[in-house]
Amino acid sequence: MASNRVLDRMIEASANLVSLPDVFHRINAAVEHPFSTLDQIAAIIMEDPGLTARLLKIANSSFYGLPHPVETISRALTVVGTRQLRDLVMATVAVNQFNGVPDNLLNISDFWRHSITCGLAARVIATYRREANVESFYVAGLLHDVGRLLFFMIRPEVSAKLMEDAKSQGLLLHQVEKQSVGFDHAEIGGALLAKWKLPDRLCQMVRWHHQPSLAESHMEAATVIHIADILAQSLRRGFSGEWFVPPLDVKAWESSGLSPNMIPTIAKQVEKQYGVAVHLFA
Amino acid sequence: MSVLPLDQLTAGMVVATNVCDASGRILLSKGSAITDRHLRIFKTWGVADVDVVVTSSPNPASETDPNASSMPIFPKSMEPFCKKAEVLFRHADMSHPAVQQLFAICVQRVAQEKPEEKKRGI
Repeated sequence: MASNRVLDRMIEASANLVSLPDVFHRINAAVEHPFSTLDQIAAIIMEDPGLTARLLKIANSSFYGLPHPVETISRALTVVGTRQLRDLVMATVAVNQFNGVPDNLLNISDFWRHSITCGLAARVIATYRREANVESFYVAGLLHDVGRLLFFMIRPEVSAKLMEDAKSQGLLLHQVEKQSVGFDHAEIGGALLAKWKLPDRLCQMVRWHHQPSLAESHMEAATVIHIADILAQSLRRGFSGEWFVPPLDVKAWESSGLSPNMIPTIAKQVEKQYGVAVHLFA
Repeated sequence: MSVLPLDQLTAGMVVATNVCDASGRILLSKGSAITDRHLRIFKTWGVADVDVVVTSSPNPASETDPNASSMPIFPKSMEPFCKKAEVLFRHADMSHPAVQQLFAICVQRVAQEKPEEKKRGI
């Protein structure tokens, strides 16, 4: 129980370091409101010029392969979809919160490269599973390790020691975290996103990305992130602090409906999209 | 019966169960022989593997254990890369067919790694 209090205190302390800006909550409320119009949602987004520019860049990227350039946010909302665009807004503003992470422990651009690879893999797997909103899987993949970033910001010396211990003893970092601090980065990440009042499904996907079969709800969605993370680690794109490929949750794999023979195809699609995705992110 | 990935299928093989796409639509019913046109259709509709009737098995190991053959065999020149990948996979269950596929991908990537990427991690 003592470790729970430590986790709670850490999440409390995070409020001074990272918090979602007001613009996200207003966009979210507008998307969820049954009577809001596309123009109203677009007007809120356009109050933030940085966000507007980034969303237009994404809407015009080869991901959507549109024949005509997308020049306005209301057009982007139409072609990308309001919920998908809301999820992209969420990813953009959440990622921006971690600009101040010290770069000496781990290269922050390497960290996001691992996260992008996981997000791409999650989106490809979700497409194969015919999930409704595949963009929400990209977002969950992108944010799956943010708990580690928060831990880096709050306890940089402890983080450095844990990474060193994991490497020298050949152990999985998330298990070392659990043994020494009482909780791992997945728990921190899930708690942080819950404090930000992000959708429960997203919190569960991040919380259980190492043991999806233990999730009480949204187990299948968490399984997609679990498999995507292992694939990203096998592809060795980027580096999140974990040295080794995490073990596969076999029970969750069996419920996923994926065949082992699909993995090379999924990996090929991720590799094809990787360059564009990293470029869009920068 | 033997479940083969798409790239190991050849025209003339007989499918042992219905071949369906992701939504469950039947693309080829069981007992039919595969033609080149079917192979194209399977690829278009994202079929990953097909259960075929094995008449004369080219690989005797695959008949006793259908999962044993999914582990690719690497040429000797790849040995140092395999060794490195084995270290990375030390916590993984190598008997699982999905993990074997991931391992094969990892070996290929380790072999392609540029010097600046090698410095990172183990």
